[in-house]
Amino acid sequence: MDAAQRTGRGDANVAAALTWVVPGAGHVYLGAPIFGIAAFLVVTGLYVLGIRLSGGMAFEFLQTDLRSLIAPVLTPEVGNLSAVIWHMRTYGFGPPFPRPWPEHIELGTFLTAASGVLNVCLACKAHFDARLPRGMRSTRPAPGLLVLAGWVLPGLGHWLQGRRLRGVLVFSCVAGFVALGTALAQGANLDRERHFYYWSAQFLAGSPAWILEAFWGGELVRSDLRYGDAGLAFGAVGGLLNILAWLDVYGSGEREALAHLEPAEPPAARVPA
Amino acid sequence: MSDLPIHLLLFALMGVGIVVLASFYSEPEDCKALAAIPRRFVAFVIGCGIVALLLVLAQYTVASVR
Repeated sequence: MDAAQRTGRGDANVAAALTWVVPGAGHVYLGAPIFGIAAFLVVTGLYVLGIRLSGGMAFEFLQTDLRSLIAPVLTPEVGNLSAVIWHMRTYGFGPPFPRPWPEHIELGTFLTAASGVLNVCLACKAHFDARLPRGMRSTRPAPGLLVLAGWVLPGLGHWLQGRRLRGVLVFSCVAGFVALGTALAQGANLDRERHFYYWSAQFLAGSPAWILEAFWGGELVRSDLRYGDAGLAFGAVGGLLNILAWLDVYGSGEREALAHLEPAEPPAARVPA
Repeated sequence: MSDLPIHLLLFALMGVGIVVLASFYSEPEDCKALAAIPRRFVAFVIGCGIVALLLVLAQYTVASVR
């Protein structure tokens, strides 16, 4: 056990696990209830807004033979465990007959998925905050924010750490895979209704996937997709590789941040007037 | 069968991406990570080749539908 763990605010694994189950619970456990409640409102609010826009029909995208209790485990929504359990218990896979999709279902399912990934970033923050000694702060970027940056733009987390070569390589691989996959699949990969699980993996690639989907998602397929399967694989692998980049950016980010600490309040501020 | 070169090219492209990011994840130093890429790529191709061989064998033996 190192110095940071001995003097930290709580068990880092417990804080992260609590956050996964209920957004903000990890920070309440660490003695930061206001931040915890605010985080809960933002992350769960995003999920609820997504449910309102999609009518809770995200899992109805799945074909009947792909529906099972573990189906939600393979979606980004699982990052917000209590919300996804509530979603499944309240809406599940819908009634046993097809019905029209709500007008903004794509935006709604995007928001529920985004809530799951945001909660993962929040869990990273809870993990780091638990290891941060009381009364201290780091002079380095917060690892949770670096993970968030790496999700929004692949490689940005590495870039902000000053690891520019890694940042460029991560962006090239992740964005390149999603772009190549989109070209091979002629945009068929950009539709959650059409390819539910592949879309889930590709969503983790961040803005390259979102931008492509915003402009070319839902396009009609007008010809034979000779390399459509390869396109789906490229898009999904691009998203999954970004997880590896997040792990790298978080691991090194936490080590760096804990190695560069300073008092949270400057000495002058602690002297009574 | 005429598609084989394109499939091999796509496999190689995906393999390079996977190996590069895996190498940088495993090695904290950029120079070591770059130096490890060729060795890792060969291991990746051999590993995938073994899996493909086992699948083809299974297709003609235990998993044959003929």
